[in-house]
Amino acid sequence: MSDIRVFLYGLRVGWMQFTGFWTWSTWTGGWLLRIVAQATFFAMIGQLLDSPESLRYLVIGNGVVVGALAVNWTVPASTWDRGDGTYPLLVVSPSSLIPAVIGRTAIWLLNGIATSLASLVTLAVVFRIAVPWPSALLIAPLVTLICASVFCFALRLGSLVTRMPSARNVVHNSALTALMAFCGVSVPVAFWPGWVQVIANCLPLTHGLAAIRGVFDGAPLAMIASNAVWSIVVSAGWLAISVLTMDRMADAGRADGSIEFVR
Amino acid sequence: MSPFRPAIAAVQAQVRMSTRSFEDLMPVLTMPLFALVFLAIFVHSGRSDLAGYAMVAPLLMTVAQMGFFVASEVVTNDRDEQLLELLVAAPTPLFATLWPRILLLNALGLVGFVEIWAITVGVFGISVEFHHPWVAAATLVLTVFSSAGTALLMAALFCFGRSARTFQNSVTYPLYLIAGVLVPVQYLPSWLQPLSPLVFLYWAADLLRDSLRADEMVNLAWRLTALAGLGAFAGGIGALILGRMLDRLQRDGALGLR
Repeated sequence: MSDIRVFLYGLRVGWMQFTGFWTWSTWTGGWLLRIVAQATFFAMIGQLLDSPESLRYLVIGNGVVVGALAVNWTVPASTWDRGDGTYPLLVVSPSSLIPAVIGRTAIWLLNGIATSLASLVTLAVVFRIAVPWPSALLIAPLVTLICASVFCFALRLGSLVTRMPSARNVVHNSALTALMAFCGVSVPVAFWPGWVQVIANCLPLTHGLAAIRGVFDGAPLAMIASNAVWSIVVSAGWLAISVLTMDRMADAGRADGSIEFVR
Repeated sequence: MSPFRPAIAAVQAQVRMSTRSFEDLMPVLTMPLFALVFLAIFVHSGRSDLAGYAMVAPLLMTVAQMGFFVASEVVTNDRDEQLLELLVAAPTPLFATLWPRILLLNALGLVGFVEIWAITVGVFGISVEFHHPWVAAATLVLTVFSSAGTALLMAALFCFGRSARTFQNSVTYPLYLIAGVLVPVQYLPSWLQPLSPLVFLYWAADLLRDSLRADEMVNLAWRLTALAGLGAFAGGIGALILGRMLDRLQRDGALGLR
């Protein structure tokens, strides 16, 4: 019960911070414009290649990955308590750090879902990408699943960078570029050498994105469901790693007396 | 005293600050990685001949990000660290130390070329030849200048507060798209194309891509002048706004307050 309360307070802090940064007008006119421009920037490569297949592949991949981009803000957001000076208080409080951090960063998960859905719809209209009906109804839950999966992964990265907050944006951006390169956003996973494919299959975007491509391509429901299940398995793995290590990372900071110092 | 001494001292101080800061080096460390994404797409599509495009775009994006996110923060950071009052009170004009620092930070973006080259040759085994290396070199120098001018304008706008921050976070990709940093502007809708020449990155991308081709360069002087002119225009407006803003803050006694 107390964990739920801590989570809700964390969520409230995250929401206050989010609304301090974006208003409805700046979110739609600023953030969403930038995100759609970013997805279009990559999708336009399909135009350059004069290949409708590439265009379609890049539109779907980039319409989804911008959601991962938004969710991945969880990585820098995990360190903001250190900058605010509230991190030592969270560490010494009797509650675990886990519900507080998950609560505070969960706003980026919600932002990611909204961002990805809005971008996918906009890009599908602009580039005239058809979605078969009624399987199109699966897109929203699958986008939610992908964003949740990236969130679990980002929590792990976030717990790592709380030990070195100055690296937060480097880790955030590098991780995102890796997802864009290796997880089937820009080219099929099979393009890469075998060992890269093994890693890609353990990353959060790969299976969920394959499921969404299945929806767009009218693939059998069993194939979509199989990818969705794999996505849940990968998410659960990353969540378990994050939960198991989050308090330990804080303990390590407490042991060497570094939690009050922000580098 | 040499007129260059304050500039040299400012550059040395900025080098010391930036080499200790992950945040300052972030674009140089992360933006060139986009070469991996672009090259993968071109190689997968059997269009390795477009590898030059995949090198030009992340290089320009690295320089631009250094301007948009690092160099533009110099004044704000100085203000946060209570350095701005000292710099304004010093007998050396503020711009004599500010401009070299902004130029340096933008020039650091060029270091990203090493990473891009390593990805192109090391990962994909592609070698790209610049048929007009001097044009490429001149374009990169002027791109740094124009990016620095734009960064000065943004530094001035940041004195206006939160709305400018939203602008900073929102403006990059729309500009990259309109400027044709990766995909030339002729692929954009025709109603959007007239905006492209207003962005310095348009001239930089076009010149760099042409420097990869063996064909003779056309309208070279005009294109280089346009690239430099846009930077000078943005920098001039930025200097004007910043000067007035600092005068006002001095009069209000709010120079060190945030």
